[in-house]
Amino acid sequence: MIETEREDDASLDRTLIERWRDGDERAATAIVKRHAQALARFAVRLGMTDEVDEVVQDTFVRAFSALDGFRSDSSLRTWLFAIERRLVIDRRRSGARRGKDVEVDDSHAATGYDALDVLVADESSQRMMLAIKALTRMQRDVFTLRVQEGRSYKEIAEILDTSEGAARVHYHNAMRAVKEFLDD
Amino acid sequence: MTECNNAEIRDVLPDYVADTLSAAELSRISMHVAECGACREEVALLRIARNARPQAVHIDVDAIVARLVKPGHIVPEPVPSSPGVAAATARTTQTPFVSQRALRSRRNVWQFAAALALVAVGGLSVAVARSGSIALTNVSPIDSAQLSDVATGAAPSSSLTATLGARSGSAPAMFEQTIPSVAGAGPARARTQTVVSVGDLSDYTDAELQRMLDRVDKWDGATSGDVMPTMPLVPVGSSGAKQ
Repeated sequence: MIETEREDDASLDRTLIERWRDGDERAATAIVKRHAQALARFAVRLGMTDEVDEVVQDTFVRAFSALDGFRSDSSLRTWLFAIERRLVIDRRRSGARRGKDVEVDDSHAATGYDALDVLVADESSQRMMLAIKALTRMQRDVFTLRVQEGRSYKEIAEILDTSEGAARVHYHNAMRAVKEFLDD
Repeated sequence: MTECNNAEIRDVLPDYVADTLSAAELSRISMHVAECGACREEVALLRIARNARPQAVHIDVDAIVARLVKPGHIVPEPVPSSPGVAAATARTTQTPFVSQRALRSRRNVWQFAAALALVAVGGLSVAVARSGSIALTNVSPIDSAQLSDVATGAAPSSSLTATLGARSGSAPAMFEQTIPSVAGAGPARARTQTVVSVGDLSDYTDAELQRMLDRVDKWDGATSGDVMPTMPLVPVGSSGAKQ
Protein backbone atom coordinates (compact mmCIF):
# COMPACT_ATOMS: atom_id res chain seq x y z
CA MET A 1 0.00 0.00 0.00
CA ILE A 2 2.88 2.30 0.72
CA GLU A 3 4.18 1.70 -2.75
CA THR A 4 0.71 2.28 -4.20
CA GLU A 5 0.33 5.60 -2.43
CA ARG A 6 3.80 6.65 -3.44
CA GLU A 7 3.07 5.64 -7.01
CA ASP A 8 -0.09 7.78 -6.90
CA ASP A 9 1.97 10.69 -5.59
CA ALA A 10 4.59 10.17 -8.25
CA SER A 11 1.91 9.92 -10.92
CA LEU A 12 0.32 13.18 -9.78
CA ASP A 13 3.71 14.89 -9.79
CA ARG A 14 4.42 13.62 -13.30
CA THR A 15 1.06 14.93 -14.49
CA LEU A 16 1.70 18.32 -12.94
CA ILE A 17 5.15 18.48 -14.51
CA GLU A 18 3.68 17.72 -17.93
CA ARG A 19 1.05 20.42 -17.47
CA TRP A 20 3.77 22.86 -16.44
CA ARG A 21 5.76 22.01 -19.54
CA ASP A 22 2.62 22.66 -21.57
CA GLY A 23 2.50 26.16 -20.13
CA ASP A 24 0.07 25.71 -17.25
CA GLU A 25 1.42 27.95 -14.50
CA ARG A 26 -1.11 26.62 -12.01
CA ALA A 27 0.66 23.28 -12.19
CA ALA A 28 3.80 24.94 -10.82
CA THR A 29 1.79 26.43 -7.98
CA ALA A 30 0.38 23.00 -7.20
CA ILE A 31 3.82 21.42 -7.20
CA VAL A 32 5.22 24.09 -4.91
CA LYS A 33 2.28 23.77 -2.52
CA ARG A 34 2.68 20.01 -2.42
CA HIS A 35 6.34 20.04 -1.44
CA ALA A 36 7.23 23.44 0.06
CA GLN A 37 6.41 22.61 3.68
CA ALA A 38 8.35 19.36 3.61
CA LEU A 39 11.31 21.17 2.08
CA ALA A 40 11.10 23.87 4.73
CA ARG A 41 11.09 21.30 7.51
CA PHE A 42 14.00 19.50 5.95
CA ALA A 43 15.93 22.76 5.63
CA VAL A 44 15.38 23.45 9.33
CA ARG A 45 16.59 19.98 10.20
CA LEU A 46 19.65 20.50 8.04
CA GLY A 47 20.54 23.38 10.33
CA MET A 48 19.12 26.34 8.43
CA THR A 49 17.77 29.04 10.70
CA ASP A 50 16.89 32.38 9.14
CA GLU A 51 17.19 31.53 5.45
CA VAL A 52 14.73 28.68 5.22
CA ASP A 53 12.36 30.36 2.77
CA GLU A 54 15.28 31.40 0.59
CA VAL A 55 16.67 27.87 0.49
CA VAL A 56 13.25 26.49 -0.39
CA GLN A 57 12.88 29.06 -3.17
CA ASP A 58 16.32 28.29 -4.53
CA THR A 59 15.54 24.59 -4.45
CA PHE A 60 12.43 25.02 -6.57
CA VAL A 61 14.15 27.39 -8.98
CA ARG A 62 17.05 24.99 -9.40
CA ALA A 63 14.73 22.02 -9.79
CA PHE A 64 12.44 23.67 -12.34
CA SER A 65 15.39 24.82 -14.42
CA ALA A 66 16.65 21.25 -14.53
CA LEU A 67 13.41 19.33 -14.87
CA ASP A 68 14.81 17.58 -17.93
CA GLY A 69 17.30 15.92 -15.61
CA PHE A 70 14.60 14.60 -13.32
CA ARG A 71 14.43 10.81 -13.50
CA SER A 72 10.89 9.69 -12.85
CA ASP A 73 12.12 6.46 -11.25
CA SER A 74 12.53 8.42 -8.04
CA SER A 75 9.85 10.60 -6.50
CA LEU A 76 9.88 14.33 -7.11
CA ARG A 77 10.08 15.01 -3.38
CA THR A 78 13.12 12.76 -3.03
CA TRP A 79 14.76 14.64 -5.89
CA LEU A 80 13.87 18.01 -4.33
CA PHE A 81 15.29 16.91 -0.97
CA ALA A 82 18.54 15.92 -2.68
CA ILE A 83 18.79 19.30 -4.43
CA GLU A 84 18.01 21.17 -1.22
CA ARG A 85 20.59 19.23 0.75
CA ARG A 86 23.29 20.12 -1.79
CA LEU A 87 22.27 23.78 -1.67
CA VAL A 88 22.50 23.78 2.11
CA ILE A 89 25.92 22.12 1.99
CA ASP A 90 27.08 24.74 -0.53
CA ARG A 91 25.85 27.51 1.76
CA ARG A 92 27.64 25.98 4.72
CA ARG A 93 30.85 25.77 2.76
CA SER A 94 30.64 29.32 1.49
CA GLY A 95 29.77 30.45 5.03
CA ALA A 96 32.80 28.61 6.33
CA ARG A 97 35.00 30.32 3.73
CA ARG A 98 33.67 33.67 4.91
CA GLY A 99 34.66 32.71 8.45
CA LYS A 100 31.18 32.17 9.77
CA ASP A 101 30.93 29.79 12.69
CA VAL A 102 29.05 27.03 10.91
CA GLU A 103 29.04 23.30 11.11
CA VAL A 104 30.57 21.51 8.19
CA ASP A 105 31.85 18.31 9.71
CA ASP A 106 29.47 15.36 9.68
CA SER A 107 31.17 13.89 12.71
CA HIS A 108 29.98 16.70 14.96
CA ALA A 109 26.57 17.08 16.46
CA ALA A 110 24.26 19.77 15.16
CA THR A 111 24.28 23.22 16.63
CA GLY A 112 21.76 25.05 14.50
CA TYR A 113 18.47 23.80 15.78
CA ASP A 114 17.29 27.02 17.36
CA ALA A 115 14.46 27.68 14.92
CA LEU A 116 13.06 24.27 15.50
CA ASP A 117 13.36 24.68 19.26
CA VAL A 118 11.19 27.78 19.04
CA LEU A 119 8.63 26.03 16.93
CA VAL A 120 7.96 23.22 19.36
CA ALA A 121 6.50 24.09 22.71
CA ASP A 122 5.61 20.70 24.08
CA GLU A 123 8.06 19.47 26.71
CA SER A 124 8.32 15.93 25.44
CA SER A 125 8.82 17.27 21.96
CA GLN A 126 11.55 19.54 23.20
CA ARG A 127 13.25 16.62 24.91
CA MET A 128 12.98 14.72 21.68
CA MET A 129 14.49 17.63 19.76
CA LEU A 130 17.39 17.72 22.16
CA ALA A 131 17.88 14.00 21.63
CA ILE A 132 17.84 14.46 17.86
CA LYS A 133 20.13 17.42 18.19
CA ALA A 134 22.70 15.22 19.92
CA LEU A 135 22.86 12.82 16.96
CA THR A 136 25.59 12.98 14.37
CA ARG A 137 24.58 14.83 11.23
CA MET A 138 24.10 11.69 9.18
CA GLN A 139 22.10 9.97 11.91
CA ARG A 140 19.93 13.04 12.31
CA ASP A 141 19.30 13.38 8.58
CA VAL A 142 18.40 9.71 8.26
CA PHE A 143 16.25 9.71 11.39
CA THR A 144 14.23 12.77 10.48
CA LEU A 145 13.73 11.68 6.88
CA ARG A 146 12.59 8.26 8.03
CA VAL A 147 10.46 9.22 11.02
CA GLN A 148 9.22 12.70 10.24
CA GLU A 149 9.02 12.59 6.47
CA GLY A 150 8.20 8.91 6.06
CA ARG A 151 10.86 8.34 3.39
CA SER A 152 11.91 4.77 2.63
CA TYR A 153 15.50 3.65 3.07
CA LYS A 154 15.90 3.60 -0.69
CA GLU A 155 14.75 7.22 -0.95
CA ILE A 156 16.94 8.25 1.97
CA ALA A 157 19.92 6.65 0.27
CA GLU A 158 19.19 8.72 -2.87
CA ILE A 159 18.77 11.95 -0.94
CA LEU A 160 21.86 11.53 1.23
CA ASP A 161 23.98 9.96 -1.48
CA THR A 162 24.61 6.79 0.49
CA SER A 163 23.55 3.15 0.33
CA GLU A 164 20.27 1.68 1.48
CA GLY A 165 22.07 -0.57 3.96
CA ALA A 166 24.03 2.34 5.40
CA ALA A 167 20.80 4.35 5.78
CA ARG A 168 19.22 1.46 7.67
CA VAL A 169 22.21 1.16 10.01
CA HIS A 170 22.23 4.93 10.63
CA TYR A 171 18.52 4.83 11.44
CA HIS A 172 18.85 2.04 14.00
CA ASN A 173 21.93 3.66 15.56
CA ALA A 174 20.03 6.94 15.76
CA MET A 175 17.05 5.27 17.38
CA ARG A 176 19.32 3.63 19.93
CA ALA A 177 21.03 6.95 20.68
CA VAL A 178 17.69 8.75 21.07
CA LYS A 179 16.46 6.12 23.52
CA GLU A 180 19.63 6.39 25.56
CA PHE A 181 19.39 10.17 25.63
CA LEU A 182 15.79 10.06 26.83
CA ASP A 183 16.56 7.41 29.46
CA ASP A 184 19.27 9.56 31.06
CA MET B 1 14.71 0.95 27.17
CA THR B 2 14.69 -2.56 25.69
CA GLU B 3 14.79 -3.39 22.02
CA CYS B 4 12.73 -5.86 20.01
CA ASN B 5 14.75 -8.58 18.31
CA ASN B 6 12.57 -8.50 15.20
CA ALA B 7 14.53 -6.10 13.00
CA GLU B 8 12.08 -6.44 10.12
CA ILE B 9 9.22 -5.22 12.31
CA ARG B 10 11.31 -2.40 13.73
CA ASP B 11 12.18 -1.33 10.21
CA VAL B 12 8.56 -0.57 9.37
CA LEU B 13 7.49 0.99 12.67
CA PRO B 14 7.97 4.52 11.26
CA ASP B 15 5.55 3.59 8.46
CA TYR B 16 3.16 2.18 11.08
CA VAL B 17 3.25 5.48 12.95
CA ALA B 18 2.84 7.43 9.71
CA ASP B 19 -0.17 5.23 8.90
CA THR B 20 1.08 4.40 5.45
CA LEU B 21 0.98 0.60 5.69
CA SER B 22 -1.34 -1.63 3.70
CA ALA B 23 -4.30 -3.17 5.54
CA ALA B 24 -2.57 -6.55 5.75
CA GLU B 25 0.70 -5.04 6.95
CA LEU B 26 -1.13 -2.80 9.42
CA SER B 27 -2.90 -5.80 10.89
CA ARG B 28 0.31 -7.82 11.18
CA ILE B 29 2.26 -4.99 12.83
CA SER B 30 -0.64 -4.09 15.12
CA MET B 31 -0.75 -7.67 16.42
CA HIS B 32 2.96 -7.64 17.06
CA VAL B 33 2.91 -4.26 18.79
CA ALA B 34 0.03 -5.38 20.99
CA GLU B 35 2.19 -8.22 22.29
CA CYS B 36 5.64 -6.56 22.29
CA GLY B 37 6.37 -4.02 25.03
CA ALA B 38 9.60 -2.86 23.41
CA CYS B 39 7.85 -2.06 20.17
CA ARG B 40 5.05 -0.26 22.02
CA GLU B 41 7.64 1.95 23.67
CA GLU B 42 9.33 2.53 20.36
CA VAL B 43 6.03 3.42 18.69
CA ALA B 44 5.30 5.94 21.48
CA LEU B 45 8.73 7.47 20.97
CA LEU B 46 8.25 7.61 17.20
CA ARG B 47 4.92 9.43 17.65
CA ILE B 48 6.64 12.06 19.76
CA ALA B 49 9.43 12.42 17.19
CA ARG B 50 6.93 12.71 14.36
CA ASN B 51 4.85 15.31 16.19
CA ALA B 52 7.97 17.30 17.00
CA ARG B 53 8.48 18.32 13.40
CA PRO B 54 8.07 22.03 12.75
CA GLN B 55 4.70 23.04 11.38
CA ALA B 56 4.79 26.81 11.23
CA VAL B 57 7.38 27.57 8.57
CA HIS B 58 5.93 30.20 6.27
CA ILE B 59 6.63 29.77 2.60
CA ASP B 60 5.57 32.33 0.00
CA VAL B 61 4.33 30.07 -2.79
CA ASP B 62 3.58 32.94 -5.17
CA ALA B 63 7.09 34.32 -4.79
CA ILE B 64 8.54 30.94 -5.67
CA VAL B 65 6.32 30.49 -8.72
CA ALA B 66 7.18 34.01 -9.88
CA ARG B 67 10.86 33.10 -9.86
CA LEU B 68 10.47 29.96 -11.97
CA VAL B 69 11.67 30.14 -15.54
CA LYS B 70 8.82 29.23 -17.87
CA PRO B 71 9.39 26.30 -20.21
CA GLY B 72 10.86 27.55 -23.49
CA HIS B 73 11.09 31.07 -22.12
CA ILE B 74 14.28 33.03 -22.73
CA VAL B 75 15.22 35.11 -19.74
CA PRO B 76 15.75 38.73 -20.80
CA GLU B 77 18.78 40.65 -19.62
CA PRO B 78 17.74 42.08 -16.25
CA VAL B 79 17.55 45.83 -15.91
CA PRO B 80 17.63 46.40 -12.16
CA SER B 81 16.10 49.59 -10.87
CA SER B 82 17.93 49.59 -7.56
CA PRO B 83 20.77 47.77 -5.81
CA GLY B 84 18.26 45.70 -3.89
CA VAL B 85 16.49 44.70 -7.06
CA ALA B 86 19.83 44.00 -8.68
CA ALA B 87 20.77 41.62 -5.90
CA ALA B 88 17.43 39.88 -6.12
CA THR B 89 17.66 39.67 -9.89
CA ALA B 90 21.15 38.25 -9.72
CA ARG B 91 19.86 35.53 -7.48
CA THR B 92 17.00 34.65 -9.76
CA THR B 93 18.64 34.83 -13.16
CA GLN B 94 19.09 31.40 -14.63
CA THR B 95 22.17 30.28 -16.42
CA PRO B 96 21.31 28.26 -19.54
CA PHE B 97 22.36 24.67 -19.25
CA VAL B 98 25.10 23.69 -21.69
CA SER B 99 26.13 20.12 -22.20
CA GLN B 100 29.45 19.04 -20.71
CA ARG B 101 30.58 17.81 -24.11
CA ALA B 102 30.00 21.21 -25.70
CA LEU B 103 31.85 22.88 -22.85
CA ARG B 104 34.80 20.51 -23.28
CA SER B 105 34.82 21.14 -27.00
CA ARG B 106 34.87 24.90 -26.50
CA ARG B 107 37.57 24.60 -23.89
CA ASN B 108 39.70 22.46 -26.19
CA VAL B 109 39.37 24.96 -29.01
CA TRP B 110 40.39 27.85 -26.78
CA GLN B 111 43.23 25.91 -25.21
CA PHE B 112 44.53 25.01 -28.62
CA ALA B 113 44.13 28.55 -29.91
CA ALA B 114 46.03 29.93 -26.91
CA ALA B 115 48.83 27.40 -27.32
CA LEU B 116 49.01 28.08 -31.04
CA ALA B 117 49.15 31.84 -30.53
CA LEU B 118 51.91 31.45 -27.96
CA VAL B 119 53.98 29.24 -30.19
CA ALA B 120 53.38 31.44 -33.24
CA VAL B 121 54.39 34.64 -31.45
CA GLY B 122 57.51 33.00 -30.04
CA GLY B 123 58.45 31.55 -33.36
CA LEU B 124 57.85 34.76 -35.23
CA SER B 125 59.88 36.82 -32.82
CA VAL B 126 62.82 34.43 -32.95
CA ALA B 127 62.65 34.16 -36.71
CA VAL B 128 62.36 37.92 -37.24
CA ALA B 129 65.14 38.61 -34.79
CA ARG B 130 67.36 36.17 -36.60
CA SER B 131 66.86 37.43 -40.06
CA GLY B 132 63.98 37.93 -41.98
CA SER B 133 61.08 39.35 -43.74
CA ILE B 134 57.53 38.10 -43.47
CA ALA B 135 55.52 37.67 -46.60
CA LEU B 136 52.00 36.44 -47.08
CA THR B 137 51.48 33.68 -49.54
CA ASN B 138 48.94 31.05 -50.42
CA VAL B 139 49.80 27.53 -49.55
CA SER B 140 47.54 24.54 -49.44
CA PRO B 141 46.97 23.09 -46.00
CA ILE B 142 48.23 19.69 -45.02
CA ASP B 143 46.95 17.05 -42.73
CA SER B 144 47.29 17.56 -39.00
CA ALA B 145 49.16 14.29 -38.74
CA GLN B 146 52.09 16.07 -40.29
CA LEU B 147 52.13 18.32 -37.31
CA SER B 148 53.13 15.48 -35.09
CA ASP B 149 55.65 14.18 -37.55
CA VAL B 150 57.50 17.44 -37.48
CA ALA B 151 56.94 18.15 -33.81
CA THR B 152 58.59 14.93 -32.82
CA GLY B 153 61.23 14.89 -35.53
CA ALA B 154 64.37 16.90 -36.15
CA ALA B 155 64.23 20.17 -38.02
CA PRO B 156 65.07 19.60 -41.66
CA SER B 157 67.88 21.47 -43.23
CA SER B 158 66.23 22.67 -46.39
CA SER B 159 63.36 24.98 -47.29
CA LEU B 160 60.48 24.14 -44.98
CA THR B 161 56.73 24.31 -45.33
CA ALA B 162 54.32 23.87 -42.45
CA THR B 163 50.59 24.23 -42.17
CA LEU B 164 48.36 24.32 -39.12
CA GLY B 165 44.67 24.50 -38.55
CA ALA B 166 43.13 22.84 -41.57
CA ARG B 167 42.03 19.30 -42.12
CA SER B 168 43.11 17.47 -45.17
CA GLY B 169 40.66 18.09 -47.96
CA SER B 170 38.70 20.93 -46.40
CA ALA B 171 41.43 23.56 -46.83
CA PRO B 172 39.93 26.55 -45.01
CA ALA B 173 43.22 28.39 -44.72
CA MET B 174 42.58 31.75 -43.09
CA PHE B 175 46.02 33.20 -43.41
CA GLU B 176 49.42 31.92 -44.21
CA GLN B 177 52.85 33.29 -43.64
CA THR B 178 56.15 32.58 -45.23
CA ILE B 179 58.80 32.90 -42.60
CA PRO B 180 62.48 32.86 -43.33
CA SER B 181 63.86 30.28 -41.02
CA VAL B 182 67.13 28.55 -40.42
CA ALA B 183 68.21 25.02 -39.85
CA GLY B 184 71.13 24.18 -37.73
CA ALA B 185 73.23 26.51 -35.63
CA GLY B 186 76.31 28.53 -36.20
CA PRO B 187 77.40 30.99 -38.81
CA ALA B 188 76.84 28.67 -41.76
CA ARG B 189 73.09 28.37 -41.30
CA ALA B 190 71.13 27.74 -44.45
CA ARG B 191 68.23 30.11 -44.91
CA THR B 192 64.90 28.35 -45.32
CA GLN B 193 61.32 29.38 -45.94
CA THR B 194 58.65 28.35 -43.43
CA VAL B 195 55.00 28.70 -44.42
CA VAL B 196 52.40 28.80 -41.65
CA SER B 197 48.73 28.36 -42.36
CA VAL B 198 46.04 28.75 -39.72
CA GLY B 199 42.61 27.41 -40.62
CA ASP B 200 39.32 27.13 -38.77
CA LEU B 201 39.76 25.24 -35.50
CA SER B 202 36.14 24.24 -35.44
CA ASP B 203 36.87 21.95 -38.37
CA TYR B 204 38.67 19.61 -36.00
CA THR B 205 37.06 16.98 -33.84
CA ASP B 206 37.63 16.97 -30.10
CA ALA B 207 39.95 14.00 -30.42
CA GLU B 208 42.07 15.74 -33.04
CA LEU B 209 42.29 18.92 -31.00
CA GLN B 210 43.20 17.00 -27.88
CA ARG B 211 45.86 15.05 -29.76
CA MET B 212 47.39 18.24 -31.09
CA LEU B 213 47.28 19.85 -27.66
CA ASP B 214 49.06 16.86 -26.20
CA ARG B 215 51.77 17.22 -28.80
CA VAL B 216 52.08 20.95 -28.23
CA ASP B 217 52.48 20.22 -24.53
CA LYS B 218 55.45 17.99 -25.31
CA TRP B 219 57.32 20.75 -27.03
CA ASP B 220 60.12 22.41 -25.19
CA GLY B 221 58.93 25.99 -24.68
CA ALA B 222 62.24 27.26 -23.34
CA THR B 223 64.09 29.66 -25.56
CA SER B 224 67.72 29.13 -26.30
CA GLY B 225 70.40 30.47 -28.54
CA ASP B 226 69.51 27.88 -31.10
CA VAL B 227 66.46 28.24 -33.26
CA MET B 228 63.67 25.93 -32.20
CA PRO B 229 61.12 24.57 -34.66
CA THR B 230 58.39 26.85 -33.37
CA MET B 231 55.83 25.66 -35.90
CA PRO B 232 55.35 22.27 -37.48
CA LEU B 233 57.82 22.17 -40.33
CA VAL B 234 57.68 20.03 -43.43
CA PRO B 235 60.27 20.27 -46.18
CA VAL B 236 58.92 21.66 -49.42
CA GLY B 237 58.79 19.04 -52.04
CA SER B 238 59.06 16.25 -49.52
CA SER B 239 56.66 13.36 -49.92
CA GLY B 240 54.83 14.22 -46.65
CA ALA B 241 53.55 17.63 -47.78
CA LYS B 242 50.17 17.75 -49.42
CA GLN B 243 49.69 20.55 -51.83
